[in-house]
Amino acid sequence: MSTKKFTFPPESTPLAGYTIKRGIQRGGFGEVYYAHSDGGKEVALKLLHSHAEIELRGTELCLNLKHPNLISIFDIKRDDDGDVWIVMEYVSGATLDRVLADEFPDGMPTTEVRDWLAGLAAGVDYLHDRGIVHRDLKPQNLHREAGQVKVGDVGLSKIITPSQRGAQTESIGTIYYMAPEISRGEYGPEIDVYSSAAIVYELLTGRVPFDGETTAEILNRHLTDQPDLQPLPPPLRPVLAHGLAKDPADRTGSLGALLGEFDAALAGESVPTPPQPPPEQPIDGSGPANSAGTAEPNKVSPARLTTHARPGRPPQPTSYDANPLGPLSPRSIPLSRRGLEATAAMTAAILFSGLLAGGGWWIGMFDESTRATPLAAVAYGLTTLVASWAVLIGTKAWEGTGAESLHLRRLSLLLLGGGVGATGWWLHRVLLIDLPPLTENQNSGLVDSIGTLELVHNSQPTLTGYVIFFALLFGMRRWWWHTDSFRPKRLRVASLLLTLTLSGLLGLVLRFPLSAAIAWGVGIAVVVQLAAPWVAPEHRDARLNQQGATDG
Amino acid sequence: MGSLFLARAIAAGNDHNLILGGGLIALAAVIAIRVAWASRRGNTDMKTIARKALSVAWVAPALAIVATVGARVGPELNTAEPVAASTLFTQIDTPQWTVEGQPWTTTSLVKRDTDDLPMVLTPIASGPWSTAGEARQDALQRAAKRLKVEVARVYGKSADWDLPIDVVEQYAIVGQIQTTQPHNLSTLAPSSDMHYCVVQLEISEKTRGLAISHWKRGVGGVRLIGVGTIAGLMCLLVITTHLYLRLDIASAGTHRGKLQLAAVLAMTAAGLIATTILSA
Repeated sequence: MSTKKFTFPPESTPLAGYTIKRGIQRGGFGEVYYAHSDGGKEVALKLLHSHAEIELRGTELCLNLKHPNLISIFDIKRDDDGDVWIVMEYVSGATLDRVLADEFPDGMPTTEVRDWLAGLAAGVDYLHDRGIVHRDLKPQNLHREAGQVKVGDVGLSKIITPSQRGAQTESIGTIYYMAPEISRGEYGPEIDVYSSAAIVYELLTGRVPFDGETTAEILNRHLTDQPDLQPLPPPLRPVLAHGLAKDPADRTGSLGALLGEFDAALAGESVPTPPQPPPEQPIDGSGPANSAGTAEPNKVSPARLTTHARPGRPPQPTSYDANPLGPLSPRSIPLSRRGLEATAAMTAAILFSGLLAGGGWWIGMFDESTRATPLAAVAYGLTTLVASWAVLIGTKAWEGTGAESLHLRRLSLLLLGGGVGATGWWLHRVLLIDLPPLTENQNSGLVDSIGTLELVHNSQPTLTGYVIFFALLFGMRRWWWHTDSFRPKRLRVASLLLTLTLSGLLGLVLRFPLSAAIAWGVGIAVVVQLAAPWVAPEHRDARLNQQGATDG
Repeated sequence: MGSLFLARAIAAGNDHNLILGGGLIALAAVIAIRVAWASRRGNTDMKTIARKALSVAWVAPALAIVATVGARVGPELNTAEPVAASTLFTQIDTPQWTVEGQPWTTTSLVKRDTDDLPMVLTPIASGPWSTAGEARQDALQRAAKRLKVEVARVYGKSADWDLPIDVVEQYAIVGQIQTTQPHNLSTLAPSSDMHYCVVQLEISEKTRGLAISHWKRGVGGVRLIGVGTIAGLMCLLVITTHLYLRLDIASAGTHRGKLQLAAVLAMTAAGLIATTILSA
């Protein structure tokens, strides 16, 4: 049983008619409890914390499905506080990930794997036959009770019609088992085949097919790397190569087909394999990898073997729903935590803006242009601070909200940038500071005016110039990647270089003084990245759990 | 801060551009809130959010304090009140007499500077003084005032600023001469000689730039106090909010009332200090 903190203690009755006995799991999507109904029936109660709409949609789809290999959903209820609970069949058996970890850390015998695959295939094919895709198959969602495999957590299930196959924009699922096409927003039944093939691979070898230090690295490997088939029993290599094909069209057609190929391979029959992508040149120059279907199908170059070989079982996500923990990972962040992080970042931004302006003044950054160096430094620092606050307030408000409304975020940042530009212009006007003169390359820009509004007057940007420059600077960058607690690194040099380049280009196009444009672009990027809280990847699961515990 | 500027701009009716900036920020805020609301996680209903927002309701009076100080600073920061330069010219005396052999003391000369730009050499005469030193000081002060007129002519508003006469003498005076002239102090007293000084002031791009740079430092420095006060209060508000949230979370809301009171008191004290600084 998990030791994580649950919202409701044993013997509490938050939902009428049910008494909680103990907590089972908790994570990004909610909490699961073992409970008894007033009549004594054992059930699992799932309290939705977040993603409620997605979870409810999926659950409602599966409310009336009946299959021995699917965990039944009895009802959906709301408690007095309006929180949503899902009443599910309680399965007492261990989940597949526990079985694998406790009994078969180096991989299961093929007969055992076949049993799990057969149950999985029956349950998921039943869903597919009804146009439903599970979307979150993983060992944690597979249970076995009295020899019966049961697929659980159908919360992410989605009806898929031909027109809806690409309609989703949010990457949902578990990173180790996530099909490559999910990154393109495609959610056909083939993603369940891919996930199942990845699970079978793990069952056979004790490790996932694609592992990495970071979420981005794992995702990238799903997209580009061929799986290392060497650890697999030779007859099963083409089966898994087929199931893990990058292109959904080349992949095994269904889980039933995957099971059929699995059986056929064990029986010594040939198995169709997917066409191979253009081979990558191995480091040793020995030529492309061998084609599948031969005696040694899908041979991988030695360099790749070295890259992929990891001893032991990879660390598994501890969260109930271990989504990729990056800037777009949907997660529940309580208002108090959100406010605390935002104000902490804004406080740090004061310090970093001050250091930046002071450092600039110290190295003579403001010397030549204004003959009023302290005032110029103050104007630069205050404008940077206002811009950083604007970025931090906006992006912290969106943190954890997933990949929804990205276009609205851009629009909002564009407008925020315009406001920051107006404030910067006002500050320089009040403090009587001129920006550095235009460079020789800036005698003309691609855009000199908008209608009758000039961007430059007397070699100085006008209000319109300031507004347009900052609006585009804000709108062109994904600033939420700079400030999210789950960003890849605290300070990304590549990101700074990109911002430097973009701000320089904006300066040239809009005839905004080049040195000021670059100083602001880089300055804002540095300040917001240094000021925004950052959680190291290894601590992100713990942060999720902590936030979940304090939520509400 | 933005809304304060917006209000001032509307009241003055002379700077509609600030409305643009404030409007953009307000619109961005609405969209940002819309995005956050549409995809919120874990805070699912308006009642819960309103209840949580009430715990930081003390920010409203704190913002009011900042706004009050901002209103006090506002007039100092008004950048658009042009002053007619002609009214300033009348304040400067031009010499009514000629120093023998020195025609430049009554006539302005137009020349070209080293960059071939027009340069005016204009005579500035002091009033009658009992000593030559006092007359020289007076002439230099008048020359400085003449240069300040140039600033007013270029930038509109001159405000209260200082142009040191030693700087004027060093960089803008190309000639000076002392003289005495008979002066009637009254109809009853006999006339007596009084000391006068005439300086030849160079009005050119160079001296105009010199004056303007001093003007910028002087006026900018004064305005910096106002801007810095508002910015400082905003920073203090952010820091206070952060400390409040940190302590409130650490104490699980047990001392929320006391913390709110302390936060408002801190902002009130800061507001009083700021007002005192601005009044000094």
